[in-house]
Amino acid sequence: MCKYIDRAWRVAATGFSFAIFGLGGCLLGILILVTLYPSPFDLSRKQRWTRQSISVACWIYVRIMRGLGLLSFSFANPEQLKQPGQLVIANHPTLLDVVFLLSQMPAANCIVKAELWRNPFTAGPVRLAGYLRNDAVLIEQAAAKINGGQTLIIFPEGTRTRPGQAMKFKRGFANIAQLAKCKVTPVIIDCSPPTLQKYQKWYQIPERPPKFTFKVLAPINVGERSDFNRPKTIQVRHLTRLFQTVLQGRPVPKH
Amino acid sequence: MTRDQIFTHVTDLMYKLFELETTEIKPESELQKDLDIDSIDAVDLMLELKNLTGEKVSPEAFHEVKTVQDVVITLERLMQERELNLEKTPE
Repeated sequence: MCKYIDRAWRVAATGFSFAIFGLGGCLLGILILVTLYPSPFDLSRKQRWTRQSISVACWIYVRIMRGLGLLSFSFANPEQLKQPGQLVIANHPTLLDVVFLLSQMPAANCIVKAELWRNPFTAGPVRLAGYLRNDAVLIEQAAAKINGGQTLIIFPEGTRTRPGQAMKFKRGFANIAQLAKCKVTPVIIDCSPPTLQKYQKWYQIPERPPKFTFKVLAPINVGERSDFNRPKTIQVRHLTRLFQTVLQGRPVPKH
Repeated sequence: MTRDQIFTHVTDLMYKLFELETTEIKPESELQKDLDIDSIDAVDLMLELKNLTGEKVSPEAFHEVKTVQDVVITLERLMQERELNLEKTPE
């Protein structure tokens, strides 16, 4: 009986927190549009402030979810995420991964699914923040953002991780890292028991509240790892394999 | 250049750029599905193929390309067009 009540409560609270997300996204978009955008500052500054507001909103949002008893979370070495001018890559077990990462990063940029440009709950913030669209990203553009001091989040699998299947990275992130010659910080995300996976409905909640852990690994400097005399396509393949190994929890190979 | 020669040239390039064994590249191999060549790779491949056609190969020319054979046929067509252009405007 107790178990039943607990479950019913968590389904209701999950629905409530999704409503907050949608409503919050809308409100944040409108708020930024009417307060920040008419101001005389230049666009890049407005976009940075928007990204900072999103970060704060994410920080509050994950604490609301924790407060409702829906989940718990912990970060190992989160300071590394706050470093400017780097690429942050992570596996992608759940829908909330990016919300957690953004909550720890002051003004991170990310590559966002084109659908979120049209989704009424997210359209405002993602457009105003100057995020990059996954269907129109230029490698040069993304590398320039990193070299200009922004931190970029990419999930190299391009979609949520399919449980039980080997990770298969796309090479876009490696192309960006190779061109930017930047630091790449891998983050291993674990969520147990799993929740909010691909093809799961929001109300299919796990037996007990999931615990999210974020293991932020030491950055790898691509400028030092890559042999720039070899064809770019080969370097990119090597980097892709290197980070695929690292994000599966195996040690960094020595060249 | 014959079609066979173009094919050899393309497979050599794919070996150099994409770490593919020349034996696994067949005319009917699909670039994306069989050879794991993504859109960024395709752009890099086109840059390298410039040597063959003399001018930059526009991405549009490769829009319909799916297999290695398609690449070879497209290149052959571009090279023929180039020869025709050269004949038309002798220097």
